[in-house]
Amino acid sequence: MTEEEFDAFYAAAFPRLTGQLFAFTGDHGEAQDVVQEAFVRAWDRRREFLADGAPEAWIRTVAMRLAVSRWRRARRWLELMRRDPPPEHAPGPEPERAVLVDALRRLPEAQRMAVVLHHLCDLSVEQVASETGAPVGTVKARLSRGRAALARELAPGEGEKEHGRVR
Amino acid sequence: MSDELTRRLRELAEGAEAPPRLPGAVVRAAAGRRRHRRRTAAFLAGGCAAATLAAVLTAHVTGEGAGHGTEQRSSPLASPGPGRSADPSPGRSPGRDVPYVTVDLSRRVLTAEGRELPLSAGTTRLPPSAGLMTVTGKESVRLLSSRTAAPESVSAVRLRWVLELAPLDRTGSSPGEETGTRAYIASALTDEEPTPGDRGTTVDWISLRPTDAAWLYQELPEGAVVEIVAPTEPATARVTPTTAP
Repeated sequence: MTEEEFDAFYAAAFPRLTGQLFAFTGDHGEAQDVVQEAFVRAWDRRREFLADGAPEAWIRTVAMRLAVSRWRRARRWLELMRRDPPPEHAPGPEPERAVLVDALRRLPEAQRMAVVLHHLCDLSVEQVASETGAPVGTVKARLSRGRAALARELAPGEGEKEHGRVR
Repeated sequence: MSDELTRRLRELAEGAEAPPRLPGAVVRAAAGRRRHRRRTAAFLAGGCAAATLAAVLTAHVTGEGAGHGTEQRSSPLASPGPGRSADPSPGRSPGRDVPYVTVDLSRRVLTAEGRELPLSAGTTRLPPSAGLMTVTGKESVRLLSSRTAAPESVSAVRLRWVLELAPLDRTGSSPGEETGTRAYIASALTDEEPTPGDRGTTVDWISLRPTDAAWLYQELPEGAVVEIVAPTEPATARVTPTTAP
């Protein structure tokens, strides 16, 4: 990959990945930081990055791992963040969007990652299992529990109907 | 719920999409700096091991050869200086890496490859250009004209180790908001500016000590990224350097 190709890929994929990481982290700044860092690592390890065959997925995986690692390093700080999330800079939060972000934040990290990868990034259950290193059955359970929890938060009364079913 | 969830997640993600905060060149430069640091650390670790081995072997050999008139030679690895020489003989970072240099006009310090070089850069009233720049030209000797406080008085000065900088992003979307304005890094005029860093006396170029300027000139290829951080004091006027005929 030449410098020009990398720059073009960076300019095209950065916004999309930032959106996906926002769904995972619930924080604009955090999403931009980890995606930026993932691109730095991508250029630094471009042989490995290109050998993977799916550069955008590689970046997303690295960015998600970075986000998880940041959370684990600053768990206490995160607890504060969850109770008192930072103000959003842009765009302004709409009520529906704010509810979804809040509901996602309440999900356990593994469930949130499974939900985002499966429902937002269009990965199959097997691909999610491969990316997260969890067995397929575990991923199905995480998806099921995550969806049920989100359903309870987003549309009270529908959670029980969905519980146990995996698309 | 699954389809509805997918729809809402996509809306959320699309609404949160944001353009890159930094240009790709800066991302590549950051990766290059990191690799360079890693290699330097590995080199130093290897150097320490080699130095230890050399010291042991030297002690062993000189111990055996004592009294036989053995000439002792110092190993270059065994006796590295604590810092890099200021002479223009630096090790170059890997060819495809984009070197990255920061010029902090508030602190009057230029940071390159872990070295902090004192500088002079204009006065508060006449600061040099700021923002993300890239090295677009190098000349070991160059005549620059420098407009001073009075616009009609133009004095030409002969500078050494001149690096010409241009804004990285000419569209103005990057932090280099001074679109189209060039900046220069060059050697100080030794007699006029013996101690760069103490005060800003040059008018419209960033000047370094001659040895530092020579080192930087050797170190920075064209295309290197230079981030000039403007001083915090508000500037009331700027002067653009122009090349003298």
